[in-house]
Amino acid sequence: MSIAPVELERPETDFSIMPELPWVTLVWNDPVNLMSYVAYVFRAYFGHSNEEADRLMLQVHNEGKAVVSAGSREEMERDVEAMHGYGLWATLQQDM
Amino acid sequence: MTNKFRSHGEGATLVLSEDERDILIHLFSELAFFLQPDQPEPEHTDPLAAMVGIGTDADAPEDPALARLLPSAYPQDREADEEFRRLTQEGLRQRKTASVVVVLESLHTESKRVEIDAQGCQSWMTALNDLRLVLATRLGITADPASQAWTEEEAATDQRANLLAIYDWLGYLQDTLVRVLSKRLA
Repeated sequence: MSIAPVELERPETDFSIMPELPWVTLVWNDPVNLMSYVAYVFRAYFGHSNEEADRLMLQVHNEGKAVVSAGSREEMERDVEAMHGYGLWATLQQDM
Repeated sequence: MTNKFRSHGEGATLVLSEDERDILIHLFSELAFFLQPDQPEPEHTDPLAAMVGIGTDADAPEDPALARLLPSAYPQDREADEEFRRLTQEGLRQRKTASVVVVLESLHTESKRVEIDAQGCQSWMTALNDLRLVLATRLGITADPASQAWTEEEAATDQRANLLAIYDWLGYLQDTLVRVLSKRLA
């Protein structure tokens, strides 16, 4: 008895409607920026609470970097430009 | 040096000795000069672009200290980096320069007490940070050993010791200003 191979219909994927991968803004550690200043910037610019700003600042300090925002590429470019204005070392990339 | 920024109305005050004020005026003048583009931008054909600070300069600065002030947004993507620089670098440079100019204006006072308004506090905070970034690069206080500007011989000199003392003092000053401004965020 043989089973005829079933022709499976290949599901069609319309890539044009796939949601874009989100972009993220990364802030990197450097030995110059004061911890108090970095936390201040996260509060003043992103509107984070004291606790959240400290958590992100310590993550940058201890792990070398932290994702500080996510969204569209245009939004992340705005955030990176603002971070550069504050003298923080920021980059953006597509989240993997 | 025990002076620090103190909250004053919506702004802040800072009492400086004459020597301290001279040091700050000297360093911030150097920073303003340092932030100027090497050569004048070619004349814009688009007046709107010129007005909003879109430049034609798409190259990363060669000087490591300037590269720290105007860092790469896309270190892995040269094309995107150049486009981002073309759109933002000139404006960023202008805003940083404007902050330094505000600081220099407030330092040109007969009084020992420097008075700074709310907006001036923001300028002082970012300009102090930019100044520390430049000094740190010169002193070799950097995550990247390749950009260290001092040889071991130079490291033992008085000049380096003086610069280090100034760098520490600027950090102390900036921290006192951040504390004043942090209290106002809540």
